[in-house]
Amino acid sequence: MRGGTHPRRHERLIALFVVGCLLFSYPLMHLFAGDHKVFGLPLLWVYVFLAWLAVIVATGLLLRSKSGSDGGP
Amino acid sequence: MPQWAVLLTPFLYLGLLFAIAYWADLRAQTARSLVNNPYVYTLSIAVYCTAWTFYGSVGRASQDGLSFLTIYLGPTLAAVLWWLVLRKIIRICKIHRITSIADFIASRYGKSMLLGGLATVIAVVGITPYIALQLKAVSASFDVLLNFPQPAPAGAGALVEDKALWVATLLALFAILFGTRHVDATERLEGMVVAVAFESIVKLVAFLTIGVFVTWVLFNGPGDLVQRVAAEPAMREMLNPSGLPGGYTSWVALTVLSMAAILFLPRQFQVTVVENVNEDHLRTAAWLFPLYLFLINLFVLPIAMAGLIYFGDAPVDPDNYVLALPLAEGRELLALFVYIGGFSAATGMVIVASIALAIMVSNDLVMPSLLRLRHLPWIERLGLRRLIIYLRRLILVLILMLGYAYFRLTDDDYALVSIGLISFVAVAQFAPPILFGMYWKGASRAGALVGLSGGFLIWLYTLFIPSVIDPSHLPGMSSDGLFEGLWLLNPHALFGLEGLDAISHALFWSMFFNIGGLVLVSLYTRQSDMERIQAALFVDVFQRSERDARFWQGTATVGDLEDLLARFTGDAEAARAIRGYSRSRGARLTADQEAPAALINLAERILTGHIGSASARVMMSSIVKGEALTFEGVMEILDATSRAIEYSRQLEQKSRELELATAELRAANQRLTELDRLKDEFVSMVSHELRTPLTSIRAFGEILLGNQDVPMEQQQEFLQVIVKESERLTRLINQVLDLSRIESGWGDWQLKDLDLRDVVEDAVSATSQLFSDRKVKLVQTLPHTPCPLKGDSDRLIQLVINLLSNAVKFTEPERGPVKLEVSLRPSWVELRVTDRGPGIPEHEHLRVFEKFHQISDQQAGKPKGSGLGLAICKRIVDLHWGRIRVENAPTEGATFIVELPEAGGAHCDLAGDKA
Repeated sequence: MRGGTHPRRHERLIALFVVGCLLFSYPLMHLFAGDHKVFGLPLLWVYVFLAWLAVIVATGLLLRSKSGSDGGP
Repeated sequence: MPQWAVLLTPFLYLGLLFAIAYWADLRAQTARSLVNNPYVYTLSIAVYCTAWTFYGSVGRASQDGLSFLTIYLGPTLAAVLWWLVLRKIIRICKIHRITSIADFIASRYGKSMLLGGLATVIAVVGITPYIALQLKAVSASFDVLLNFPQPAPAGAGALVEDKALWVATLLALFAILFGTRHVDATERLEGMVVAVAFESIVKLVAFLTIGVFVTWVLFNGPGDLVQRVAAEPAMREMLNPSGLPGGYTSWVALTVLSMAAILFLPRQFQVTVVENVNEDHLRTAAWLFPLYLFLINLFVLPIAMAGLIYFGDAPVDPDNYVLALPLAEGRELLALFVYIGGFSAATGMVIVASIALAIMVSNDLVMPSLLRLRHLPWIERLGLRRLIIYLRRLILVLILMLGYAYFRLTDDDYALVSIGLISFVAVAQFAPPILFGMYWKGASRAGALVGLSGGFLIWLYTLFIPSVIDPSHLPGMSSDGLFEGLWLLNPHALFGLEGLDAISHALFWSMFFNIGGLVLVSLYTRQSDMERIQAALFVDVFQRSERDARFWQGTATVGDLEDLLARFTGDAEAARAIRGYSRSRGARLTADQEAPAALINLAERILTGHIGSASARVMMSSIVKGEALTFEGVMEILDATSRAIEYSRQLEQKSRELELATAELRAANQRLTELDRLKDEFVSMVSHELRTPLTSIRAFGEILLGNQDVPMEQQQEFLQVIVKESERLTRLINQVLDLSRIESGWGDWQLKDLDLRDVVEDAVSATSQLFSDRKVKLVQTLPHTPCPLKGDSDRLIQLVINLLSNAVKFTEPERGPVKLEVSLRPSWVELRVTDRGPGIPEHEHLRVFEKFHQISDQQAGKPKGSGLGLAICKRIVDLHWGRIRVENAPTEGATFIVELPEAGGAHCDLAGDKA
């Protein structure tokens, strides 16, 4: 029923959402908004794409196993 | 490029799409459905990427750099919460047979026709610019393909020559064929879903192809592009390293907007919620869909930079870079492929959006007003089913024409992205009533009505109207003296709020009034029973099994019910529904029988799928006599159901507990029987042990009594034996008493802090007589520091006495002394007593501690002890949380080792005890 093998999946998803919002928020983005270049690309661009990919991978990992399909949020 | 090829290709492509959709519909009928898999589901969600993504992102990126990404980061973040939020929406919609956003809102707020209608109007007006955007993109890409490198002819031509009109017509045809065949909107549109999924693949492949071509064939990779852009002062703005492009407020506003859009755009609602086959598909879609967005955006920046470098000041619209680049290089086939990709993106959106809107308009706007008509019976003669289908088709065409009209009205002033964002803000108005409605039971119909209309009016005034009317005619915008003093009403700086871009500004004010109105009015209004029921059902959808919920107290006959269903669903369908119900309940229903409440409920749900919740409610109340249940009534039924579930769960648990208790009892019984057996054994052994000395005492006594002439010294000897045996008897009885006292545990013992050295000292002095009698020496090795213990001093002294007397008994004096050693180990104290006897065989090491166990193969005929001494030792050590074992010391005898836990810390008070 509720939770299954991942009783804390809901909490973790919410935490990931908050982390994701922070990753793309002003203070963090500002850190990377300089004249620096990585592989010849602006640092900010590289950061945004990598952070994006990280959020996607984390979401995939959190939802990987099948469970809790009956429980409520 | 020849004109006929450019014109023919999209038609061929649409033909292919028709074929795919037709094939998928065929498959659906043969039960080998294509849509029941998470990948098709994910690809159909990718209908989110429209011409806006395909053409518009590059245009936006070439001006603002990164800011185009917000439209895709928002959905990525929202997808993280899909498992929590979207799954709840899907569950609610499946249970209540909800098929559109407007119906969701109407149903949540007491099946309100007014709210449903308002939401529908917002959706239609809000999405119109979005459809226009697609038409504009398709027609612009036509022009580029035909006329490049000349700029497109200024202004739109005659109606008949306008390609956008033809595309719109063709798309309407497609949508009608695959979107409006069934009346029941809960039936899945498999053909449409598969076609859209296919289009998602086409647009992704097309965009990746052009991206690779531009980045690595035209230029030398992304690094090269960045270097070249950085070298041109005019283009450096795009790299904009000094901060967030477009400002931080805009960044946040766009992210929030796109989060709302991915959930509440009517077409997204259609593919993610209505067309969802299995909630579990969300687990895949929640990461695969963001990955799709990631891939399709990978080359937006390179293409934008390439366009800037390649065309420089040439009059090429940045929105068209994707097409213009391969054309300028003379790669016409590639351009044609890219064009098909863009066409896919545009048509997918238009098809799904127009179908979703048509269902919404027919269920929540047209049906409710139709049902209020007096002439309904007359209309019904035409057949309501046919009527609904034709109505939907008509509405579909009207919606597409509305989009076309908007496209003609705004024409070339707006970039693609700006048009799309206008729609996003409109759609965001749905977020407060839906999200508040899902998690807050208190949100009321009046609140939703005030909030939604407030937000919508703000949107109309600040975004929509300025986009269709020349802004200089609006108050506050013109320098005309007539409007002096109306600066507060400036649609781009409402109430004097300046410094925000148009989108953030409109989002702020519309949300301000929407959320504010919803919350404030909800707090000060009373909900009707219907609202409270629906609120409870929506908010607690995962907690309740409200399939059994009944809302009708009144009665209706089965025949009436079937007639009503047949009017909307057709005779066969209605009969099937009734048959299915009676089969599942195992009861035969006749037409004049009274329909059970659950059947009435089922009928209402089926109707909801066909004509929307509000209309279904009206239709049901026309045949059900009597009142609908009150909130309390419904809740009581719901609670009774959940109570029954709860009871059965408790019963299950009780029976499990009982089973457990039975097993425990059985084990306890077994233990008791065993103990009983042990006790019998003990008694018989004790009696046996008592009888041996008694027998010899009696025998010698009788000899002395019967034979007077026994010589004196022999008499002395006999009496000595009698005394010795009596002593042995006494000792034995004492030990049995000791044992039984010890067996009872800590009863009358006293737990104190002790020093083991004191205990040993006492025991040694108590046994000194024994040692000197047997002429055995004792060697003690005691540490210099105290050995703190917790325990009962008398028992511990007894323990050491027992061990010492045991050692004395078995030691032959000539072989050496008995050794007693006390040593402190980390966290325990060790006591070793080593004798100089024959030792104990390995297999006896455990058994010596059993009661009455005596080592059998002793040379000496008579056992030397009672067999209880070591048993007592073991018991004492056990009660002091320690361990006792025996080892054979080489060249010596046996060593008994006692390990007791060391006491210490603040609670150990040796001195106090001594005092």
